[in-house]
Amino acid sequence: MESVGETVFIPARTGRRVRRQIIDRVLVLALTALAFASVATVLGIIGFIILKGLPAISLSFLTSPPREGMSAGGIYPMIRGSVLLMLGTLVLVLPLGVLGGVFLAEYAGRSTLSRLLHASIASLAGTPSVIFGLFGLAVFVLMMNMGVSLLAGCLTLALFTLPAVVFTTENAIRSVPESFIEAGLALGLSRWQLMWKVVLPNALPGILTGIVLSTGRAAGEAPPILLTAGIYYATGDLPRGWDILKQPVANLPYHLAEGYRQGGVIPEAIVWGTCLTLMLFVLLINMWAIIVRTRVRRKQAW
Amino acid sequence: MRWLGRLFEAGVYVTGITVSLVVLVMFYYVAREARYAFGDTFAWGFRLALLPADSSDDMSPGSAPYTTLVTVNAEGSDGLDEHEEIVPAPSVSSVEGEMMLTTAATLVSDITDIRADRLYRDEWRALKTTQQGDQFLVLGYATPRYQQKTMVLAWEPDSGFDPTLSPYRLVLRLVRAPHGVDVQPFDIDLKRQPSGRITLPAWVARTDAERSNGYVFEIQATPHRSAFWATLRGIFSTEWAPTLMYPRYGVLPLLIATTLMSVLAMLFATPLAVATALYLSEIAQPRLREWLKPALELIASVPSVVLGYFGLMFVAPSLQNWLGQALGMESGRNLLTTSVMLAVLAIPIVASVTEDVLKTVPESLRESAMALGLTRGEMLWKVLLPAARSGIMAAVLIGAARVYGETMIVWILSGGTASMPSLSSLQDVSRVLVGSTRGVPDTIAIEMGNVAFESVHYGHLFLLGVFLFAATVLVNLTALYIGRKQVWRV
Amino acid sequence: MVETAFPLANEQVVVSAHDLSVFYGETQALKSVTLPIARNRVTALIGPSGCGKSSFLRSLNRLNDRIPGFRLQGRVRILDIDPYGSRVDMIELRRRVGMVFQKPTPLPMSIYDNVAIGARSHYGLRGRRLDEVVEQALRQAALWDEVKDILRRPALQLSGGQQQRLCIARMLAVDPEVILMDEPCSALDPVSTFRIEELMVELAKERTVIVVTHNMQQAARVSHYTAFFMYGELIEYGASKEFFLSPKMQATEDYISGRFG
Repeated sequence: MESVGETVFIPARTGRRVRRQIIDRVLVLALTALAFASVATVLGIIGFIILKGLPAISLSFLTSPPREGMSAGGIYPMIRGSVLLMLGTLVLVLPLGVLGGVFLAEYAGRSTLSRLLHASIASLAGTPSVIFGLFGLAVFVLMMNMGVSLLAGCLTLALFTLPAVVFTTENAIRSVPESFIEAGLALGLSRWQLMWKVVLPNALPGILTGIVLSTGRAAGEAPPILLTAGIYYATGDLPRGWDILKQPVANLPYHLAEGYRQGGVIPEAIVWGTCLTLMLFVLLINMWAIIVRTRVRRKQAW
Repeated sequence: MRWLGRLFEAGVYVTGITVSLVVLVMFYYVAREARYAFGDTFAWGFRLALLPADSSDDMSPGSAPYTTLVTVNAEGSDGLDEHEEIVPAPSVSSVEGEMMLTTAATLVSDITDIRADRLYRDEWRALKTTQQGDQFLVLGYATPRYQQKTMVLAWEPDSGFDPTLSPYRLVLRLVRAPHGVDVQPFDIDLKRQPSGRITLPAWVARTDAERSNGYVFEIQATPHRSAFWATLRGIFSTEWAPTLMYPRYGVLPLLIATTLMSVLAMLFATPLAVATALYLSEIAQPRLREWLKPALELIASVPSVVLGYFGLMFVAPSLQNWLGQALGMESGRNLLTTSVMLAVLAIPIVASVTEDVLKTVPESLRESAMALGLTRGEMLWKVLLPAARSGIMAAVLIGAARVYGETMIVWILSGGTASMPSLSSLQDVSRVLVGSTRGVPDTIAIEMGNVAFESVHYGHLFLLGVFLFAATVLVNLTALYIGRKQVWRV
Repeated sequence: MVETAFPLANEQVVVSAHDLSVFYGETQALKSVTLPIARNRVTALIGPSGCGKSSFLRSLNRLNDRIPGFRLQGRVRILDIDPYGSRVDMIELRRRVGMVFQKPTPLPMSIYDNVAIGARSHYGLRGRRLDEVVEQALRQAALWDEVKDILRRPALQLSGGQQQRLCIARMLAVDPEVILMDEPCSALDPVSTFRIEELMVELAKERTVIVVTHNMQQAARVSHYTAFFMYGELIEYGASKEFFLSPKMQATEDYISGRFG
């Protein structure tokens, strides 16, 4: 052991301590202020839109079609279109996303290949929505001859939501505790039986809320719809049966985007009303999903 | 039951691998559509005119009343309305009054086929289109009123046409001099000498029939550079103007504008978002955090078109009111406003991811810092931030990729003028900040609405998509890579 | 039931807990523990897992505060400071009371900065003075010879034993009067353990060392005094020699002879 030399320490001075404390307080205060500023900004925007849009919203606004070349009337066809798009997307993305998630969580392993697959899906998740629009236009609308239609729109949106659904499914499956799986294995279940009977039922709430969250976000996204499914002038009527899939649909984000392109045809009050409807449409879906998710997480405190 | 299991597993494998390949498939098809950008139809146009010998030097074919425009593939010139616009060349006697010197387009490219009764005085276009090396003959003559001994042949590129960008070798030459006129033949490379004049002996056509014996000039276009390189060179030029007669597809102004507004937006958003995340994860009481985190996620899902409208109706006029005078802002719709709203979009995303990153920093680091007697601020600043640095960088990159590809906010707020930003002086910078601009994603979304499918313009929009796609994938993969490289051991 | 006939007659008491109870939510981790600790001595806290010895240690420098549901009753005095007093300066408390954790926790920065961070913050040292302090601390922690040429390398590149000695150097650079060690050797190999034990003895010449350990031999080797905890209670406390040779309580004897724990 080496001998210890003379102490070279100088005592901590009170002044320095006080200064450190003050700097600390200021920093914490600044962080708090910045955090509240950013939260307040975004909450302020939501509040602003609610204030502006609320006067326009009434039952008839939500349930009647536009009149007089979009300059009056309600936005019923747009709401219906958005709902249709969302439902179609949900139906399409559900099997793809869930099976993809199961694959990543249980079958892909932890190899280099699986990391590549992850990177690939992560890239898809970060791809701008307008690119999905381009792809939908090139492949669904033109190459497959679907035309600008509800079906092309749903397919495009399904691709758009796919990575998010895959990842939430993967996470939900991974968070099913190992002990459940071991119990299943002890019962002599095969891998797919295990998946079917133990893992998926337990992961289901997580998967479903994840899917709803991502389709909710997709429902507010304009660019993919802009190129694949939107129509501006809409009446209240829809074709019957499957023909509906072949028709373009009016919808909320498209209405706002196209309304802007047309420039001032839609009166401001209706624009705000549409903005608020779209925002509430997305926020309520998400809020529901987040609440369900929190509840499920609490209940599943394994 | 066994086969059901097999089916399920097969489904899982097939879907899993398909899903992972989607991004490649998408890239392939978007890039494939970009092939239309490389169609070999390039517009070009030159004006030819005969001018009086005593005309001043600033008189140009563009301003002369008796000019012939030879133009090919320019917007609207292909096919459709050619025949409607054919105007026969006026007879010698009828133009004698004002048009003493005249040129006329022949519809044929063989000298021997020139017929006096099929001459056209069409100012707008040569009456055919060319792809692969074609000749355009222009007849030149004077009317009997023209008294001078000589006349001048002048030429220049049509306004808006830049010969240097054309993949053709363009040559102007004298094909035939009228009988009995002694003149040196000439052969001019129009790329080297895009405009100029040459003095020729005057030659007068006395009757309509005689016109066909006049001077015959030829503009010959031969492809000499590959259309691919020419397109590529066009793409990396500095002007985006796809609807002009001679369209320009330079993507640089769009790419630079998008990059500029993203960088600016992240400069605004990063400190706020990181502060929010630090507050949420390190300072806020657990109860408050339980509320704030979902609120943050909720906020992140406000549709961007709604944010765009908010920016248009509130931020743009406000900025215009506060800073309009000081910065010389002409409209609230400009790069600055766009960046501000993009920052609003990015804050919840970056904050949410950063908060997740901070959560993965092991508690032991915080305890060590506290046990050393560091203040909370010192712990955040000297220990936590360095520990989470790569994760935070990844979060910022994820936000940046999102902002980079954002369409609606930029569409609504950028003002829509594509121009090459100049950042050489402080004044320029402020002009760019408050100036109208236009980015890549919004250009795709806006112009795809009024473009002919599978046209060159359509191809270029897909090409923009390829750039955007590649850029965001690159940024995302970088984020993934540095996010994985955690500096602490778990 | 608690053995309180402390053999500290000739010692100066520097840390004392009186009737100390600690709760985490519903569970009670410490049950009215009274324990004085002698200046410039090594005191070992032993006992089975979850017996409250770590809780005791961590209430001395208030590291328990971050744990949700933490509550404390009773009195603590450390270096004439009441850590739970209303106007306590936590920064000053933790400057004078250093701590080493079970797992080495090098901070994500260079070796030099790891050691310098405390001295820089507390004393505002810079340049040559700081270099001297860093060198001295590293020498004291018996790490100097191994790292003197790689001071700018990230601390995470060191081996586990080196990292733990780095953490000790980091703590020493702040010049604490009381050193709390929470099972400092449990993650280390025997050689590293031996070096750190040597270090404890050396440190106790000038400082008070309180060490939580699972390792009875270690406690016997390095400590002057030993306290035995079980189920949150202090069972027995005394000079280590007597403690290990002739324990007074049955539970203590069972424990040190390896019948449980």
